[in-house]
Amino acid sequence: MQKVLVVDNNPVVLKYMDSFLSKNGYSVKTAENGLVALDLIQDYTPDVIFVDLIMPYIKGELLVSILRENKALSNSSIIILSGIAAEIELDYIAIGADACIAKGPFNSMGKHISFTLDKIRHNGEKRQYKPVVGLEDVFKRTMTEELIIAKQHWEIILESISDYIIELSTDFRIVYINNAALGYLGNNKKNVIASNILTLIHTEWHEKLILYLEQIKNNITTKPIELSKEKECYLITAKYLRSANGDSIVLIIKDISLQKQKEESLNNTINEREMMIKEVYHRVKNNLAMVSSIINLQIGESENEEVTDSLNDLRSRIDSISMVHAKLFRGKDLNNINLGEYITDLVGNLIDSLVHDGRTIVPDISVPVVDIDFDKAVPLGIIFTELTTNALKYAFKDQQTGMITITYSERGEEVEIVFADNGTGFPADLSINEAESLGFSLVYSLVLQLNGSISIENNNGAVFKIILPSLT
Amino acid sequence: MADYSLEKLAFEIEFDIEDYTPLLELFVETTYVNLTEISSAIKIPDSEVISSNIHNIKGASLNLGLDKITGIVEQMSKLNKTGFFTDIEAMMEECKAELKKLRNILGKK
Repeated sequence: MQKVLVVDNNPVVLKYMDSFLSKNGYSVKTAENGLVALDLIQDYTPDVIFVDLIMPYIKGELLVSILRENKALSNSSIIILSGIAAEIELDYIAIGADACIAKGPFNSMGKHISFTLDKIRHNGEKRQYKPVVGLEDVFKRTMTEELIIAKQHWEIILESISDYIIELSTDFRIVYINNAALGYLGNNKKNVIASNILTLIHTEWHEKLILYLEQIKNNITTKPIELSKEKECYLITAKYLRSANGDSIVLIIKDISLQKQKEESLNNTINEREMMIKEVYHRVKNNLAMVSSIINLQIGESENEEVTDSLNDLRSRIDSISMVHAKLFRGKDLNNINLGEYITDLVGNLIDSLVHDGRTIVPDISVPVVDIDFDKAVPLGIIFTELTTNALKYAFKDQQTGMITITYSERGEEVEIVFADNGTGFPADLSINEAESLGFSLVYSLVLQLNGSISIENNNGAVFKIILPSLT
Repeated sequence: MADYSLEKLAFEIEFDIEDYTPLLELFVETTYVNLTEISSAIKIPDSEVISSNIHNIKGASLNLGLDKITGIVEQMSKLNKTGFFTDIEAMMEECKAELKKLRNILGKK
């Protein structure tokens, strides 16, 4: 008894073929798609195989090519049985089939099948190009023809793009693969189709890919994943396609190895640059510390109180600049420093270094975590050094305790910083822009440099109100 | 009420009723599944899924000589290509009406 395999996704056709061929003395097996057919032929060698062209998973033309290259099937006849035979000009011999029958009403289709099987069986007629049998029983469907052309159009695009496109069955077997992906695998389509994708990729990727595909299947994620090994790196995006004919998963794989290498190289360059900049900050800080130490030595040598005061002021200004460099050197951000932290440390250090007479001066600083850039940090540091030094020198002369308050508030596009002490206050006629002291001259000119303004008033002590454009 | 006769349908494609009936039963059953798929695909809309299901119905109806249903799904195929998905739903109702008639004659068997 001759053995027949029928591959068709339409259950009505499968049932008919099974019944029709069995009645005609054939032993029949059926497969609802190409994957099932390829599994069946592992231990079943049919004499005749009927293949539909339009099927889920592996399309008919590709299945015929794969079957024809199978040495175990070298004596088997392959017959295309398709409803689109009227719409396409198919050179079925070229793809490896022996005959092509157009699907139509079952009565005439049955006759064409019998006729073709008889010819193959009795005359040994094989692989000679003949017109498709049965075309007279079906009418050409223009719409189907157009859909086929549109499908071919998309296939040409998929075959031409550089991204790897792979379609998998739900058990991860390859049912479609484009040229780019084949090029990566270094294999041909017929060898790869129906293979489990896991057999073709690094074992290190299996766990991550399976987890991802399961998540895609269960609609848990839509985000892509990266798979990498040594210098290879791929971005995988998966889409789950649901269909009554069989669900599938489409993988769009982008080779980002070169991009990753460039990113790594760029990160290395940035890290090297950051290290160099930190080194510069470190050296500037050390040099300023050395200058500060030299001034300190000079203070020790000085017997003139006026000179000592001037040198102390000079050293405080240098220390305030040094502190900016120290913070930039130690911080994670090379361009910005935290204003609140900087002002708190600066004022605290000045109190520690300038108050040695037993008085208690308490700083109350309410400056929030605001990152400001280096160019603004240095003048602000000097401004607060001058104002704090001035308060420590003059505001609390007659007091055992005192308080320095600094507040910060944002007002639209501007920032208001108020420096206040609860000391004796200013002489009533003091004008900061006309003050003769170096300290106030510095404060005034640095506020102008920052495009700001400053005003002073007495209100239970001296109050300096500085308005600056936004610092962030 | 029924336009169809099981004997006539079987006779037209030279089948015995005994051979024709199980194929028609299977056709009705699978076509309802195809129509459900089309209905879901219209909501997305996914023209390829619609096309694939129409292809299935069209092929099987042609096989069984169900010319009226073949004609209806031909129209659905045209509407799918032009994107008139709402009109496809109307055609689906026509198709379901035909399936109902087929069910009736199968029930009377």
